[in-house]
Amino acid sequence: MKRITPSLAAGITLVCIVLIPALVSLFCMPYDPQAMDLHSRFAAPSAQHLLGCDHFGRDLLSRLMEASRLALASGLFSVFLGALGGIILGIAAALGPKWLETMLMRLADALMAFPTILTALALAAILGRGTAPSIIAICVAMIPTFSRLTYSMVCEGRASLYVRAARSYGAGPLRIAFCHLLPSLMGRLVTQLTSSLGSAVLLESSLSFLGLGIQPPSSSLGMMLSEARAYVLTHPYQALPPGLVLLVMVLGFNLLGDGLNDLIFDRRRAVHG
Amino acid sequence: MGKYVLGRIASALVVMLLVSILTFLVLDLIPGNAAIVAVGVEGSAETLARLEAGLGLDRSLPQRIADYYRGLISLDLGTSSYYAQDVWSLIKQRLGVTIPLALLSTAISFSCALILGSLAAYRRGGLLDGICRTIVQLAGSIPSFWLSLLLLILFSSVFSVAGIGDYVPPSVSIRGYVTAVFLPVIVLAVGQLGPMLRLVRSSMITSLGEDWYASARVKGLGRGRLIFVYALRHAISGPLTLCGNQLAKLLGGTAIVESIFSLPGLGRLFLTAVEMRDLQLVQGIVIFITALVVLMNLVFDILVHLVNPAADSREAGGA
Repeated sequence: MKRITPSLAAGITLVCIVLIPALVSLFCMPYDPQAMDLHSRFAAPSAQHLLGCDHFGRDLLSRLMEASRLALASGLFSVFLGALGGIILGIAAALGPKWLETMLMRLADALMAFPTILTALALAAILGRGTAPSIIAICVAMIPTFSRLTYSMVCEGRASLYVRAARSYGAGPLRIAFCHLLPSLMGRLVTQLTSSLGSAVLLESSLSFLGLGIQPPSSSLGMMLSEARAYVLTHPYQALPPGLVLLVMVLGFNLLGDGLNDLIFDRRRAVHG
Repeated sequence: MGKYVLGRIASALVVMLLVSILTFLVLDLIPGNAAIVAVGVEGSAETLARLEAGLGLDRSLPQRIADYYRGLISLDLGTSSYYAQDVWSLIKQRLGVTIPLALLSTAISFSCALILGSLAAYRRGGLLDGICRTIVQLAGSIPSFWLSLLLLILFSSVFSVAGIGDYVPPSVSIRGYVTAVFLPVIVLAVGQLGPMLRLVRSSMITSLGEDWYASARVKGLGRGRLIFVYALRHAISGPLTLCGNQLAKLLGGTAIVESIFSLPGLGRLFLTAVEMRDLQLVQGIVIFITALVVLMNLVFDILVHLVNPAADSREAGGA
């Protein structure tokens, strides 16, 4: 029986909590997120500034709305690109010649074993800092997960009856891959996509915490936290809102991924909770 | 056994070869080589040519690849342009900070996961199980740098502990070392706990559901002994593999935590290398960490094979 599990419900709620303000920020925000007001530096939450102000007197709520929009957008973009690359490489490895399979899969193993943050950092060293390089870096870090997943699922599916049937009336490997195998793998891929969104958002915020991701004057959660770090002893409140938003976002996607997984593969993962 | 070990060593070598050649090519192909960076915009063509010759950059690609591998074999990872020092000796200096961090935090998270995970699996659906599932989700989602900031606020402002963020080697003052290191260790342990706890719990549930467990219970074996000795032994191969993997990852993955708590470790060295675009240093650290990861996975795979030869090591994953 398919039902909404607690983790699915919690995931949807948490994602909505950040998604709705992020979408609203496209149309209106309480203040201009870049407008400085030196009179209200470190202002406490009040009726004018619901969440208070940062060290330049910029409205925290507006900055958070903009930052979560950018985080979601860059997360979606990089996960989508990474998934696309991973799926193509996974299919190529599963259906291609043996040497390609060995090479691609060993490489994916190595990348998986390597700390993701280091992969992203190394790429940032080569590509420079900024939004586009950080998206590329995150996307590359996402590729091995998807290529391994696709590879193992295609290998499983290859022997199944419907693929053999398709082959028997003359379907080529590409047709089998994209018209027969891929649709049947969609459930797993969507689940993985959702969980990966959580890690992508986390990775992006780590990069911008280190000053390598989204650049000022745009706001990003990581950057806001790294600014808050300078005032952590005098104004500890500054570190709370951006971190909470980030936690809610990542937790939301992780729970959503788990929930979707339970929904699609009912009993199979019941043990893994 | 012998065949298995040989096969694992061969595939580890393939991975090393692939990663090293890939790193070399990527860093070689990007525009602006080390000599151009060192000379800067104002440098004359002659200085550039001299530097290029000194660094061996004027040679052909196959020759450079040969040079590179000759260097790797003799542990010569080149010279860092920012520190003007040998890359390998820089790495060696920093390891003394990072290795204890990685070992301590892995040990803490591994033992917490074993105890909590086993108990949660034993009382599945109970209160502790619920708590564990919450821990898994929260620990896996909390950004390490935020947790660091929160702990920093808590311990510096609220409990007024002095000396956090001033690294003192243990040879100088044990007390100072512990103050500087205990928060980073907690943050790193929390970061690893999520996946580990989840894996221990699910392997233990499988293990406790097996026939031999029921018959051992019927025979009257003590519960504690049964869970923590027999069932855990059956369930340990997956967590052990993960443990090795996490340990290896930590040796480079501590960059953010090291930078927040100002610890002069390998992660921070990497960060500096990235910020200064010191590509030789980036390359050296990447190669070093890959070698460590590959070696660690190899060791833990063989260890798992020894503890439980029936375990399918392919399923357990790892490079």
